[in-house]
Amino acid sequence: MDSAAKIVITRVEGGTITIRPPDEPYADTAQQAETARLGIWLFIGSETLFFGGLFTAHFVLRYLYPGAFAAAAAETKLWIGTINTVILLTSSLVFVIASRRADAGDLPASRRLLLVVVGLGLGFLALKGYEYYTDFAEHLVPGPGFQLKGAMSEPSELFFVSYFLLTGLHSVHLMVGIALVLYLWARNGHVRPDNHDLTRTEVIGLYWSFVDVIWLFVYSIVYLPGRSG
Amino acid sequence: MIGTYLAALCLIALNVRLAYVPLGWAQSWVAVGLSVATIFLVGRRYMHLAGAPALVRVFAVGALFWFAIMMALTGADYLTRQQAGALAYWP
Repeated sequence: MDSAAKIVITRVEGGTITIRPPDEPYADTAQQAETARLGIWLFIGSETLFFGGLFTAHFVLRYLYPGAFAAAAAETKLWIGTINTVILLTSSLVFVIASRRADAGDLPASRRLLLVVVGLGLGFLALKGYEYYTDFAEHLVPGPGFQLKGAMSEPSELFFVSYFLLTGLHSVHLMVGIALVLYLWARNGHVRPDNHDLTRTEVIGLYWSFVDVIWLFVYSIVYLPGRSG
Repeated sequence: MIGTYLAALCLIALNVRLAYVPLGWAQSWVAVGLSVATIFLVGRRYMHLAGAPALVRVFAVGALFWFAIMMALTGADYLTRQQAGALAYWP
């Protein structure tokens, strides 16, 4: 074992950080962290194109049926969409603070903040679930019982097909995010963080903020149109 | 960090307010534009793109670039169908 493979303990603001040797096949810890960062950004790029296909389909349908899409969008619950937007934005901020606490060597504080992130994520899902419940009650689910009858019925149904696809797939991503944060919380259950803990926290934080970014875009194309009459 | 949060909240509030103001054809562009501005703030500070290495930024811009290609080619098709007379074949 060469000198680069030694465990080094570094004193930081809130405690200490253990610098462990890199895993195979990395030359050093910085290269390993950089590879993890690039890996999650590559994944985020592929996810951008995954949601991008849905966004493109939504824009095409909206271009073909502007009136019906505006009328259907006005049926969505703007107050729920807005509160959920603020919830996710807040959760991104809390995650960044949690990440910084970990970087400062204060893993217990970081873990407490991760639980706040999980709570905010669950709050989002609870509100979204309530919104779906009202959508079902108001017959806004595409199918034989769809409510917005008349000449624009079919394009309006297409809006809600897009709405359920976009918000449903986003919610699945958020559930994965909550599971990842809980994994991180369990994994960081020791007192002194090491460099791998910090990289893991940063990578999962990037995914969490990406889920926030997707929602910000969904919010603008699904909830905001059709409000000005 | 808190400044980014407050700026993003202001953009969201402005977006909600402007949704109720009749802006005609610009309505959708304003809503998407303000959201993209909020996304820019989140990407810059919460996703650490502000101080990221060049390669990470290339990956992020690459994702947007491919998305733009998809939007542009699909848009070019649908926006020119009428000129090509293809709408006549629609059911």
